[in-house]
Amino acid sequence: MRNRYDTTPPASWLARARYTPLADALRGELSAQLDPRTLIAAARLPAPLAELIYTVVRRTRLWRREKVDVTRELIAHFTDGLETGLRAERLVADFGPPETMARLIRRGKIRNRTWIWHCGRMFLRASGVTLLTFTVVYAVLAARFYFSAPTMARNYWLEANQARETADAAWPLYREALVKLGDPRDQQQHPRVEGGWFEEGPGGAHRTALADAVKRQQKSIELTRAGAKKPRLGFLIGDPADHNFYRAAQADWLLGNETPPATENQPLINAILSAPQQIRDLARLLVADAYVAAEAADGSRVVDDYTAILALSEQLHQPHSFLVDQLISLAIFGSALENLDRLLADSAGCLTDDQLRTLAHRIAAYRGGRITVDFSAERALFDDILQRAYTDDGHGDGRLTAQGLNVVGDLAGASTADDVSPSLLLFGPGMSAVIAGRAESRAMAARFLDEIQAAYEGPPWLWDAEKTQAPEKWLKEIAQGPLGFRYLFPAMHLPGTAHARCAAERMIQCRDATETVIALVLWHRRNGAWPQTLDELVPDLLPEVPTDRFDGKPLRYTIRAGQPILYSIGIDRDDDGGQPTKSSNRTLPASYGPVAAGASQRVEDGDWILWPPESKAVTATRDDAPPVDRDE
Amino acid sequence: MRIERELMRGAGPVAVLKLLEGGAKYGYELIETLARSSDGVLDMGQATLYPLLYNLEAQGLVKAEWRESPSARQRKYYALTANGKKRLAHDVEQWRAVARAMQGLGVLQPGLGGATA
Repeated sequence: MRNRYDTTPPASWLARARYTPLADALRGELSAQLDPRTLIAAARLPAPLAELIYTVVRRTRLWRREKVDVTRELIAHFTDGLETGLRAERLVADFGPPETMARLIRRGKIRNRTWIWHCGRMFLRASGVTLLTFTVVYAVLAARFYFSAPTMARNYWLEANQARETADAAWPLYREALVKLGDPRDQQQHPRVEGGWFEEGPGGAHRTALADAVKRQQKSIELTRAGAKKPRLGFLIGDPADHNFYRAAQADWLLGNETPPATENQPLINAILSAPQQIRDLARLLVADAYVAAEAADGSRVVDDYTAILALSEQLHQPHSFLVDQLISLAIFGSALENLDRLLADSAGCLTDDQLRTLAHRIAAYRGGRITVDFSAERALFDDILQRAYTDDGHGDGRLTAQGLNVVGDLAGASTADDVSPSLLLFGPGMSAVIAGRAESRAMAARFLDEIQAAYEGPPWLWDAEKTQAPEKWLKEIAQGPLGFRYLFPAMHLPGTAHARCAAERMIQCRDATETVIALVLWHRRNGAWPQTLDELVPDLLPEVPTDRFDGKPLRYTIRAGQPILYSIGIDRDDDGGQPTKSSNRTLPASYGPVAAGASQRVEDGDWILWPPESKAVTATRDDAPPVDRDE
Repeated sequence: MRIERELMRGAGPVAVLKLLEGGAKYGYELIETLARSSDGVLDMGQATLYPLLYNLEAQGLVKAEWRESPSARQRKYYALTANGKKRLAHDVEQWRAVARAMQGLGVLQPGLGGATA
């Protein structure tokens, strides 16, 4: 084992090659001239001096050529000293401590290096300091991040349930109806009705299948009608009774929709769509039954079915209904109106005048005439998301936690795992420093919802485009801008909220249209012709001509080729005389509805034809009057 | 008498530059000349000189080159650069001003170090 300060030159050719300048190597000479030991050995100095030089040079930790330069200079220095007659020991003693000498020489030599090298060193040092600072800051953030846990002070799920009454409720009957529907995976035994079948009209390709499904599912239909007569839905999120009921009935296809008991304080967002989708299936079955009843000229059953569908929709508006639940409720209502409009065009003759009036009154009474959406459950939903993501400092604020990033993943639909993923563990502390705190996120969401509500105050023809578009535009700008990451929670959860108001307005327009259509049909029965204007329906058949939600003026009406056309001027706010848009009104998204004038949204030339449905001939009388084709 | 380190830190570089004004010199020669010329007062020691020379070189005040000495050995000679001469002139003026001030205070005898009142 070689001593670190052994001044013997390297013997192996490999070591010599390592210290040989390129010029020497090209000449085939392994001179090892870049090894201080070679130079020291060649100088033949006394051992104490040789060791001193090598010790100093080695400790300088300089580059090879610098070491060689220092070695040569020290060799010259001590050789001069010896020539003056001084002894090696004296020279060693006069020289001073080798470590001090090495340090001073190193400092001086480094100063002699190029400015490029110095810039590089400054850069590296700055980088090092930055990295160190970053590491320290990150470590502090990490400690705060990993050792903090969300504080769940409230069980919103339980609170929502406590606000709901369960006495004399419809849900137990619907639950039984859902079980009776059978396993949807077995279409042979338990056929389901598809929404698209209704548009086919009498003699459509699926009319037989629709009639068969209705025949097989009569028990479920009866149970649903019975449930619709109840004053309330009474559905509880995470009710163990549901689970027990499904299990006892061996309805394993429904067990997949089960939710844990409310006492477990599960995320409120997991409760969304737990019942509305199933109720929508029951409503579709009632629509199918109404078609079958109309074909059988059983007007009473048609009235019962549509009355039940409206009740289903109303029941879904329980206390603490989520926005998505409200939208599904409106969609059920909208589907009822759409299919009733189609029935009134195809086979109004199956309904007596009294039955038509009954339907008109029931539609007018839907939700007390107030079709709105409210965001109170949305606020609770957002608060629940925050309490699962943040700590709670007792003053409404808190820091993001590791579990909070999993909540982000859940919102994004990426994962529902409780375990924090490795990537989140790595980047989480950094993200927690960037993402807004609990209070700031909550304030942002509250501001957004407040502005939405303020912007959509009053009837739609008074809405201001700038105001209605501002909240979502503002949120979009934030999400896409440099602060996008900061407001991750509001940006992920809130977009699309404004469309709910438009959807509600669309339903008001559809409701008014259906009531007007019933009045038109009654007028036609009395007079054998269509009225020239809607004013003729007032006050006998209509209290007043309904309003076009796009401009606040009376709803438009015209007769073309003997065919009545009820329409709204539509999104282009231009009366095209009842000419439809190129795209079918029926295929427009559910969120389509009145918007503020000047809103930046797809505008198609043409009107919104409310009645009759496209390609439908209208048979308004009970004596099978020949249909009149619409002028295409 | 050896002077304090702080004084030496200021005087050392000027002393070395002054010695090099007379022509290029190598390390050991500078050490010996300093000790002799300053009566041992500016004897800075071997461990101090070489780092000092490297610093002066880094500042561009001296330049170094290896030459063969009369005794046929390689030595590293240090010589003043143009910048070094300017710095020397400037430092000499500074020292004279200090000397005059010291004379005024009675710290130095008049007529010393060319510091005439």
